Amino acid sequence: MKSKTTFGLLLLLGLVLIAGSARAQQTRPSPSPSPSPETHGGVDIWGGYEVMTSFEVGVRGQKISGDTNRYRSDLNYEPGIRLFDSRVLIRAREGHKGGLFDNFLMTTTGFGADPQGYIRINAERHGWYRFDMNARRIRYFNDLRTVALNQHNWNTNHKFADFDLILLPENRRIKFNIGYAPDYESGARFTTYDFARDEFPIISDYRVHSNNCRFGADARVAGFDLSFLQGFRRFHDNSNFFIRGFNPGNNPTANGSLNTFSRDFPARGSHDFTRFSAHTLIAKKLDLTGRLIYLNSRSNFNMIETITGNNFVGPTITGIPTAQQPYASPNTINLFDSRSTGNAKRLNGMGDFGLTWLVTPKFRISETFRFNNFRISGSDFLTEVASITRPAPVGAQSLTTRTFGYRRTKSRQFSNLIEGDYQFNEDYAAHVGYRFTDRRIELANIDSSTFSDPRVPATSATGSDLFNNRTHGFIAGFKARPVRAWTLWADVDHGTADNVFTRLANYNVTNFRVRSRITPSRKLSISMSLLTRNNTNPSFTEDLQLSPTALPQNLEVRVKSRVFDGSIDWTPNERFMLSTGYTRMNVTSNAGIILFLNNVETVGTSQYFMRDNNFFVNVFVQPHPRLSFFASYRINDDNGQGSLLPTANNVIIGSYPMRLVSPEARLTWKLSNKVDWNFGYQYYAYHETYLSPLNVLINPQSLTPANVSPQNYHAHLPYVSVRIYLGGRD
Amino acid sequence: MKPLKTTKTLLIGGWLLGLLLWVGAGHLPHSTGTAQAQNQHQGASPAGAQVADANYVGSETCRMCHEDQFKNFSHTPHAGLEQEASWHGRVVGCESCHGPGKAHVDAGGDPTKIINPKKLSAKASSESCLTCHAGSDDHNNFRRGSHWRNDVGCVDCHAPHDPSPVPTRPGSTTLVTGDVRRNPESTSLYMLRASEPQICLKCHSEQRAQFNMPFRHRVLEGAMKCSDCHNPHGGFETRQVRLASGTDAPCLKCHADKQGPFVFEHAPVKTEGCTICHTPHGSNNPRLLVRTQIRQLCLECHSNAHEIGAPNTPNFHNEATVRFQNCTTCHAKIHGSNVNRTFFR
Repeated sequence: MKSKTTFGLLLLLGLVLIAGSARAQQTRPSPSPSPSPETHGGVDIWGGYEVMTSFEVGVRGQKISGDTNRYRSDLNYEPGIRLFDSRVLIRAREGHKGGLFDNFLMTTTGFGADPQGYIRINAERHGWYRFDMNARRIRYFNDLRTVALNQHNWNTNHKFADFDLILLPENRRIKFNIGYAPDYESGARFTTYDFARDEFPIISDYRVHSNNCRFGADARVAGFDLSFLQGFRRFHDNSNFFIRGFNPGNNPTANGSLNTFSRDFPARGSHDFTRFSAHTLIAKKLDLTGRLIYLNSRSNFNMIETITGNNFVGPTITGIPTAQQPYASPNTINLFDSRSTGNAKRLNGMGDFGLTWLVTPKFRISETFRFNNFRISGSDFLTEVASITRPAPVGAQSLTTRTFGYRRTKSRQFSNLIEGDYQFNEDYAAHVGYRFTDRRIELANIDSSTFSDPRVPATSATGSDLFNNRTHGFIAGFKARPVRAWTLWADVDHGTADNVFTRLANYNVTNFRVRSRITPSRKLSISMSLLTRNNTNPSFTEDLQLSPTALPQNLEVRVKSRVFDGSIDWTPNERFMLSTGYTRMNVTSNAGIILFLNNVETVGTSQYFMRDNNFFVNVFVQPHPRLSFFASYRINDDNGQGSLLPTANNVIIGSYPMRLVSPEARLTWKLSNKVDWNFGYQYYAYHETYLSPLNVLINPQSLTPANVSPQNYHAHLPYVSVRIYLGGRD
Repeated sequence: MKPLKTTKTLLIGGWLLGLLLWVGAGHLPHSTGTAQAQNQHQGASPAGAQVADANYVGSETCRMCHEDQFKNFSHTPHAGLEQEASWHGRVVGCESCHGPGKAHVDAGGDPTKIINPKKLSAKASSESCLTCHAGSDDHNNFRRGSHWRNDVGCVDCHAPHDPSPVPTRPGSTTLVTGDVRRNPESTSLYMLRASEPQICLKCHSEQRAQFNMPFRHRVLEGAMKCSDCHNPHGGFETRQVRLASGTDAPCLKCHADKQGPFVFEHAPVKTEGCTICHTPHGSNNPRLLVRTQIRQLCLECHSNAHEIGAPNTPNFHNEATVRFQNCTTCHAKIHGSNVNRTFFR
């Protein structure tokens, strides 16, 4: 990564020089007069620059009781030396022209003992360039009992960055931009593999990276603002999967086990896109914007998987059809070798058009239209060679299976939104609109298999599906400022939503939102909001009727969401600040489902509950010019389903009752104008009462319900640090 | 396929046309706008208009009385336009937003003789900014965006005179809490009035609760910012999200391994988007899922309604057993697979 980053920086530097050449061809402006440069007490002056730097460095302690893995999954703060944050600001003094840059700002946060850290650099030279860099590093740890039997855990590092350079940023007629974004993620991931009707935990050495480049230009030509961007992404997945030694699998009823398992599955992808947009304002009344994007996305892959194992029950070894009973168990897998190669591509064309007509200075009509077409198609050839030894008299046998699979997904969508907004005066405004969408999705597949054993007939199947849906929606809203200090916003969205895959019918949606902000002065702000969302979705199943005369089952889905939020920010003076807020979020979902219980098709319900209370308060007090104190308390408490328990096993009730409390305090003592001493303490307490479908926690090792402790923890994080200011306090 | 080819043709043609226009730009009349017409439009400003009008007095004249504003303004990119060759002969500086100042000066500073954007509606004051900024790809949908629709204007988030320095106060060492944390996003960037999450959360305060949940994108920690995923200036996309790699959801910018294309796509991932299963801001459920149990997510679609395209679960999926209650232990590659139609590997 280092060499590539260096390369990227060199490339950007080169472009700066090119821009300089272009710039040299323009008329040089005369320096602006600046009779009285501002004097900054204590600010370092380096030549023509003011330099202000501060950084906080310290050491953090840690004491965790309870489930350390869950703590790491949620927070992952570690003990040790930490660069809390730093900031370097170099700014050309008033009246002085900068050299390489006029402003340079670098901020960093979280390096050292934090799970996430970043560096941001912003530099600019008026008229020449603007450069933004944002490099991030995330240490991701995930160990969760409620996901996939605690067998899909991760411990990875994700490093990614964006470098963006705009050349001639203030030029009225043209500016160029170029960007580069590397992205690397690697580490250990754990997953599972279904083989021969048993599930095996496997390890993945996860190595994925991508490089993204983009360049473009913005030009103003003949009254049109034109924008062009060409982007490239190259994606590499070099992950491999393996097991360490004998693996008995999850399924206690299966006798099969793996002795060895190895899968190499390199994939390469490319995503090239072209974007062109144009905008103009005609006669100050007609705003026209158009955009076209074309994406050509491709991926190629190879897979080699080898397995050895024994005693698999049943014929359902991957790739071996049920019809091939002679190969049934008991058997030993001497070698199960799978090799596959294939590719997939996605072509996507998207066009947008927007129009705003300023009919009068107070009344505007807007029209937004989009078409979005894409086609994804791909195929793979899979060859599986199974070398099996069965007890005498069968002995060793082998079978080769060749499988071909092809899939195609075509989507065509149109959407249109027309709306009008009216500005009664500077305090009152309203808008109404109508939305229409039309979507058509086609799915097609071809599957075929051939077998080396002549007793097993070749198979071939094709299929296709077609889905059409249209939706209509109505939106309306207003803003009102009855008095100078109080602003009210409200809007409503009612109609059908565009989700063809989730249910038979379109979602009937009614969303309502109201926000209120009261700001009697700059020192006090009170905000409140209420959001409600109601979705219903009647779905009649056609192939399950409890009796020949019964009506089709209505598997209606009803989802209700209610969010109330209130917060206060109060800063009466420089020595005191209070910020507090409360949010209540309710989600209730009730969906009719059909599931199999002991091979019997059964109508059931799936219910989900969230009853979340979130409260925070932050207080800052400065009792003495050299002493300040910050305290914070945050709590997130979800009551979930409360005391509601499923009454039968065709009723699935899901919720995640939990409570996360995190108070924090910090004392700052100003030792001098250049040094602050800080002492702080953070505490996290997590408590959960996750309930399995049967109201008991699940033992992931045996797949049987058991009383397993929830992943609760308490974490104490004290720290001591100094903040050092160089060049004065900013 | 035809629409795709048409798109490609239009793109190439559009760019060639743009290039042609650019090459010929020296012979084409520049769009100048007209200061007078702009002034008539709700008092919006004449930014970019030509300075041929004797009613303009120049920023130095404004400085005589408005020293503080001038000082702050002089650090902004706007102030640098005076030195830009491409802006020579055009109104820049104070009068680009406040309009011609001669009458105001002649009247001894009469506030009624000058445009005060504070007293304009959000839309009217935004028109002033859009005179120059509407053209960029990031801004050219502002007039159709949610903020515009709800009468939230540019100066609600940006301080055109450059914001006052934020007082240095100790705050949380891990979260952005009110204005007491040292800004992870310096306010000098884009002339924002405060750091980005703080600005957004002032109105969208309910999102703060989601960012405080156990599973969340690290926005309050400063590792991400709202505009990584959303374009606050409007856009063609739902919820004003940005596009990644051309036409993809912003999620795929960082979660590149989910982008595909895969031979065996899990179709809703591409047709409905990530939010059909995940809540992007934060959740109490692992993996930011919208349901606690993964089988709920699966069964609510794969539930015997052929017309929706989601195949039924086969009858050996006995939901009475723990084994079949954990769908992704078998269907591990649920976002898409290259070799297995049921997403096993």
